[in-house]
Amino acid sequence: MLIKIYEAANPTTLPASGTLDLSLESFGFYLKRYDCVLYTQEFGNIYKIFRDGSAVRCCGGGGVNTQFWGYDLDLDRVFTMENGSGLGNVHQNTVGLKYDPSDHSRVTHTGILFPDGVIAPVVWGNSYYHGYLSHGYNKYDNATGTLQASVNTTGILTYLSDRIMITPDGWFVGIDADNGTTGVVRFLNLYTGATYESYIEKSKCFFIDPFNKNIWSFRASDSRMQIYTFDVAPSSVSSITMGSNRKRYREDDLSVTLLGDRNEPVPNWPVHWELTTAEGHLKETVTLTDYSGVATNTYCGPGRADFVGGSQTITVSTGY
Amino acid sequence: MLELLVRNPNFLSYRSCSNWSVDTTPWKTLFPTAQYNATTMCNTSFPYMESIQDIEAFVYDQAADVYRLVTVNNIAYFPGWEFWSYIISPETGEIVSSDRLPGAALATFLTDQAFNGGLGKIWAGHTGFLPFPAVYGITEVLLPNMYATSDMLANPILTNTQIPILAGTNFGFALAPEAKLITVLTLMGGPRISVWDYSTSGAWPSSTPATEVYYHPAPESFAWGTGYEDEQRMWALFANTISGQTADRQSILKYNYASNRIELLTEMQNIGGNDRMARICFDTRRKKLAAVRIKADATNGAAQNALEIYAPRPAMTMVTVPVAITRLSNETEVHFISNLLGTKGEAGGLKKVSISCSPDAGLVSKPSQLSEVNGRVEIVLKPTVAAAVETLTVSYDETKVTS
Repeated sequence: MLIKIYEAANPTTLPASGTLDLSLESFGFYLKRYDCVLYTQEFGNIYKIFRDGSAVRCCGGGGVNTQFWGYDLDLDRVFTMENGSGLGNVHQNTVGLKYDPSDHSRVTHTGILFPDGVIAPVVWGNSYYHGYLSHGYNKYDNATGTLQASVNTTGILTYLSDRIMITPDGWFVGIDADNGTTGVVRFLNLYTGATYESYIEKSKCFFIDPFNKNIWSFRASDSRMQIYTFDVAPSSVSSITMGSNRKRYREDDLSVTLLGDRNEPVPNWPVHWELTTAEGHLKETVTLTDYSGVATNTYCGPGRADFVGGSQTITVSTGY
Repeated sequence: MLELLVRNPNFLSYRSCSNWSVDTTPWKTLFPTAQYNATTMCNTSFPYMESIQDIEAFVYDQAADVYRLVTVNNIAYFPGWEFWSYIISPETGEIVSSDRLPGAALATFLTDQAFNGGLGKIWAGHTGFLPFPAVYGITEVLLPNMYATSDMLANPILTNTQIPILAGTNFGFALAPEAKLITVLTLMGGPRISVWDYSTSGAWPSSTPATEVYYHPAPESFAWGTGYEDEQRMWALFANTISGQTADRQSILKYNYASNRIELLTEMQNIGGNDRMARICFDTRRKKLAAVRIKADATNGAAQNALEIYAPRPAMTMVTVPVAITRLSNETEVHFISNLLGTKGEAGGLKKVSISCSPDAGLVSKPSQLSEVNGRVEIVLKPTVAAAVETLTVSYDETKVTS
């Protein structure tokens, strides 16, 4: 499971709407400019939800369907989409940026033309990513609408409500909020191709803060706000594997694997190495796990002429 | 909620019937045969001879450094109404002097209301109802007597042509140097702010404004007043609050007409409620926002009107619980975030906040710091030697808001 760093004491309630309820249509995005989530649950009513779960209604009234929102990562702006058939009708071929509720206003933009079936797109640089009726996420040129690449979300993003976000340093994050008993989170680095995945408690509603790399989730069972980091919490440490040299001046490769409570790899976690009852040297005292959850180190036998190997004890710990 | 600095309730007292005879002199000259009966119009249970019916202008006179309030007052004698001008101190909100406006000014104010514009000028819009409600033109209002100039601006759009404004409450807002007229309208679908650029619209009126922003999502609310701040910003006050909130507040926004963005959406507290109307204007010298509130008269007819002066920024009412954004660790710094906010989640930027940690107070890197522009306060705790349980407290000193 991802590390949960905060859980509100009480359910998040929306002013004049009661408890957060995903049975109503809802959309939202984290906005850096307000350092909160701009969220809508009903047509036209916009709430600001802050990191501790407190919520205020900042705009209200009718007139605009804000269900279908997208986010511009570079401009830190939320936009809504419409086409010739009216706002929210996404099953058409020309869906464009139109309104901007992120500053409580509607202004007309020059439209980006989205393909049929777009949902919750993210604009980043010269590209935009969006969900598609075929249950994948695609990358498009935002000037021409030309398909540039597809992001493999097989097994993770399977439903239209699944949401993605991209961090400024290139992590593509996709969440399936209801994957049986939990929500599944998948990370893909768009630069290196590195991937890992973990899970959060089953969520009725969630948002990704790409700047602080947090996931804001409202637990399905009781609407309590939870904040997760992108770090997988280690649950188990494997035995150390070691080569068979263990001789004078010879090096041996050491490795250990960190797993989460669902046996998912724990990446980027510091592992402390200690030579407790052995002779020789360790190359590093702390190493980080890779995206398979494996941390490596090197043991070098001592220079003593009569060293013949034997039993050595090396301790690893993860610490917090 | 905007930060209220000065409130002067009952700043404007009505004249009582005991002095009505003095004020009727000019009318008696004009209509010597008119009959007045003080007994029937004024009596001990209703001792006042006037009541404000409407506000025609509430502006900041930059040259004289005063607020000028022009009202239409119902009066207890022929012809039943008068225009009155009140001069108000921007420091105290007290009325410095008041006088009946001469008749020559009446023609201006019968048409529409007056507003502050660029370069300290004041303008009055001319509206009509055929073929549909429209702004016909703008006339400069000359101080100190609030006379309107006889000619409308020499521009095609301002000479007997129409800006096609279809319905609702509208407020002209003239900015001569920038050649812009800004209207704040309440139409179906909610209030919108339109910027009409008459320097480039030779074929005015085109039906499309140069830029337009919708106050979104719209409360069902009428625009009540505008205030010119500078060559980028203006304020607009609406009669109702943001939908879903309590009725003792009114929504107010700051609009940047250069960038076409709403920069701030907040509220004004409507103390005592019962507003019949309100207007705002901006003191460009002191950078303060003033509001005049005309409230329903007391049962005996006494005035209950208020003059308020606000700082053009929201008051802070909330500090959110500091929440970590990095995993808790005793080996590395841990970052927390708290937000300093107003009632509508408005950001409290560049405010001094204090941070404390207990029992190990030394963990806090910066015990006193300024909030960021978006109200965010990032707190850095130093690494601890061993696992520890600490209580982190963030407080905003000015209002003793703590979380």
